[in-house]
Amino acid sequence: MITRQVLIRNLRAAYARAYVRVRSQFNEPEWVVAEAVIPLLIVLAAATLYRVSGSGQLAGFAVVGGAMMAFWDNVLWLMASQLYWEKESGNLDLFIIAPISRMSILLGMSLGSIINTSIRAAIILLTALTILKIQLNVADPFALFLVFALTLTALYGLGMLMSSLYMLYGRGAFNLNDVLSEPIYLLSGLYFPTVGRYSPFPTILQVLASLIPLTFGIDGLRRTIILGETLESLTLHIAVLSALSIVLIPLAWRTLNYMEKLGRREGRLSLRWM
Amino acid sequence: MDVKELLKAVRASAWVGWQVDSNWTEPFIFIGIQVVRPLASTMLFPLLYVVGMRLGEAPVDLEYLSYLIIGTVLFTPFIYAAETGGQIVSQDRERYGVMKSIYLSKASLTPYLFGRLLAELGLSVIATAASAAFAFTAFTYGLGLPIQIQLTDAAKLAVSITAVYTGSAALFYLLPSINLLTNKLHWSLTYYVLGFLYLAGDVLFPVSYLNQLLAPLEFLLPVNQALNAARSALGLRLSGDPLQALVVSAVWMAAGLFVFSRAVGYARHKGLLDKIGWW
Repeated sequence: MITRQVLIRNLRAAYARAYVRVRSQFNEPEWVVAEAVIPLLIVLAAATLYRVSGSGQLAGFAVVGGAMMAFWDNVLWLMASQLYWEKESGNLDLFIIAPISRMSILLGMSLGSIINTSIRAAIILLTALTILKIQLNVADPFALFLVFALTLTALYGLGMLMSSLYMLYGRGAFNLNDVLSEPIYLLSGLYFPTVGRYSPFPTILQVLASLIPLTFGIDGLRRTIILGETLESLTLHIAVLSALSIVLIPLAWRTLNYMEKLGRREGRLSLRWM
Repeated sequence: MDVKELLKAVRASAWVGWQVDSNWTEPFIFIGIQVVRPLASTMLFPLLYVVGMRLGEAPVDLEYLSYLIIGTVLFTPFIYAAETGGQIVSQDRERYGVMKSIYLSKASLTPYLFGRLLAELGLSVIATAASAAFAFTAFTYGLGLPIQIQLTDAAKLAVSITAVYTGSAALFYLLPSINLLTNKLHWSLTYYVLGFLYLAGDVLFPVSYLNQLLAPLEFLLPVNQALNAARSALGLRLSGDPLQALVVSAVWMAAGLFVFSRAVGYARHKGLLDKIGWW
């Protein structure tokens, strides 16, 4: 039974964790610049490639993908790896001792990350649209909002799940992030559609790609922002993203509890330099 | 330091580099990092081009597709050099504390970095060869888009590839030189450089397409001439002089070594070799 007091305590913990994350951004503005400029360079390269090959009208695809790339990088490096870093810096011990649910920490991390990364994504989007002179074609703002909200919910649900899994693993977590980054850029269709009739991938790869929230998220955003599609044509996207959200967040919760128990049993929760 | 000791230092550094960078004891991670990841980078832009043409219902220009594939495959050594070179200083100063040990030992940072370079070159050869084989097979047989590659001049190709690796080695020395003097760029510098080279390095399109004023970069950067010479040696209709490419890369390499030795001297003088934190 969750009492009002417990609920308020956990919400305050989530707010505190989100506050640290948002505040830290303003202490290190170099990171904001780097995380906006670097994807922007790749977006410009991809958009120019569309133009060189005579498909200039699709340059907006690369821009939407580049903006969403900021969220994926954030999930990998500032969600998935975060509890491992907290362990290295000694904060995880405090989180375990504190009378709060670890999920409130993950929730705060997610909310702070969403705020930070939204700023970066907006910088990337607006700068690229201005430089490349791309016209937006939003016919259904509600559909855009819904797809964006569902994408972030599912994506950060995946981040919470990965964070729980990475908590007990050391250097392997960094390596796994390295392994995952580029293949996910490719599979999730950051710069071109990877699901549907224009996908270059066989069906089995398209099914696997659909399990990554980014895949249907980016495709849905492209359709609403660039192609001007409305809610009626996005039912599959909304269904897939809703299903992923419903599965990933409870799974993250269960995994976190399991990994915490395992860590306590094996005495690995505060082991560093693994 | 005599030659025997120097070789011993280089060999030990290369072994350290292999162990740190390859993750060879964990086959899943090794294959993931050294094969799957570079492969994804190699395939990304050629596939973007193919999908773009399909969406526009236009035929794929096989010669341009070959241009893209050769470009992205042979850009792999530059990615490896920038990623490893960009991280060495922060890893060794901040995480493992190796810099101060090398400072105290008889060896210097120059043979250490050379050993690390040898390990990095070995790994990038594996990644480049795997990417080339997979990309050729996937496009030719998987997507039914036969890559138009024909070896017209083996010597020219050999010199071009030497220019690619020499140019990448120059990056490998230049990035740590900058990171020795500041800790704020230890992550971002690599990706600034790679992003710039994707745009201006003739990897995906001739730099002159962006703006005619940028056309001279084709003869100044260590990437453009080397890639174009390799494309020419592989039968594409491009003018690329491998000797010119090698000279440009050699000049960059000499500049890289000079800048690195100056940066090491400055870092020793200012006590930066064990200065950790955000500065």
